[in-house]
Amino acid sequence: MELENELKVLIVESLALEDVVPADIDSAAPLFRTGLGLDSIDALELAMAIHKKFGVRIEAEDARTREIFQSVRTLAQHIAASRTQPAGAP
Amino acid sequence: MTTHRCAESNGTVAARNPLPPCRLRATLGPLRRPPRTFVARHAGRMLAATHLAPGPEPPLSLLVPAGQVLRVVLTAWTFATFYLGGLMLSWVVLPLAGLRGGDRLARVARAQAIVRGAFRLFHDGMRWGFLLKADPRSTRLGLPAGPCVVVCNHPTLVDVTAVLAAAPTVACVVKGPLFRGLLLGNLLRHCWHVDGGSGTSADNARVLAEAAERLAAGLPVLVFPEGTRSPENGLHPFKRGAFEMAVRARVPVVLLLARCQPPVLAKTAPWYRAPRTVPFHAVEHLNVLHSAEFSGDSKAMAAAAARLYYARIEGVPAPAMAGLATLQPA
Repeated sequence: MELENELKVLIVESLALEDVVPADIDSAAPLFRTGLGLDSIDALELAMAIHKKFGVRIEAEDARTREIFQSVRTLAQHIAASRTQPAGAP
Repeated sequence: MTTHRCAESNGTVAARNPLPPCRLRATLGPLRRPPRTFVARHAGRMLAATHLAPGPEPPLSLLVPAGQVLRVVLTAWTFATFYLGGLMLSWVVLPLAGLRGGDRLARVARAQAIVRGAFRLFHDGMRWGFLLKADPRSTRLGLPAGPCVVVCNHPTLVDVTAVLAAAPTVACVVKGPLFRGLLLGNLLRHCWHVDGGSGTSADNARVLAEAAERLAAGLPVLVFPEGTRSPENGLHPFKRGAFEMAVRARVPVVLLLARCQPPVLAKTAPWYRAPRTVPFHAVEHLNVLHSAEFSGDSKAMAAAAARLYYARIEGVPAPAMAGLATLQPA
């Protein structure tokens, strides 16, 4: 939940969405086309911002990219899962 | 009604002066026609032809269908020569030309000069065969010196050849399947065009990087920002990539307007549907957008570009603008 809110702030800030505040974003709503109406360039920028802030790289070749970028909730789940995995490794 | 008559009678005037006002109005019509059956489509056109174009048409009712049939045959022949020529250039001419050496830019310029000549011949052939009135030699694109992003709408198949036949050495973003095809893939690689990929994030990032490389080398980058051919008398929403390239490289975006009346070789119309009159095709300079004026906002830039196009395709409702217009109210 905390992570979802952080993500919403990140989305609004990194994509410079002027007419949207983080609280407006529905965690379950689609990010692209309908919903927030983000486009392919937004996806690139968002992936970069997520890498910078959370250290999680979303591999563009990943076949699951589409699922991961489905909504704020799926993004948060992916980040949470990816962060716990490598944390134990090093 | 009057606009149609005007377009018919102005055939020769329009060839000299590419922009009589009535011809622009003649490009108007319903934005996206509902799909109709083959028969209904043709019945509609015959009706339109008899009702709307009485003026200078000679009463030779048999000659018109005969001309249409001949044009279908010629169109098929033109396709065949295009692909045969493409094969020859891809696998024989350009590899041989590449052997002459020189640095990359010199080799690219040489390959593109050959292809440009071929495209000019291709358009000459279409003009001589009364398939299309368009002369790339007289087309003035108004590109600035130095790198820029060139954007064009895409009403017909031949916009690409028309622009490339009139342009200096440019890098064009080409759709992935064509780039990886056996037919034209080699040609496109020799000309250092950019593989547009298949729309995945990885591909998009690579396209942006490769475009930046071409711009840094001083080449203009040509993009058809709709990603496919335009709908009849309209536009698909512009994708942002072209404008993002310009913003990142801080180069201007040159807008080109391609028009074809009556429309031919559109995505929705089969190639064998020859129009009743010889189509008039033109590519012209529309405007220049400077990325500095948009302070790095490629969304606003794409919206501004779409507005400029819609201002020229006057009177056409702008559904594609709905999403973009809200992004920049000014």
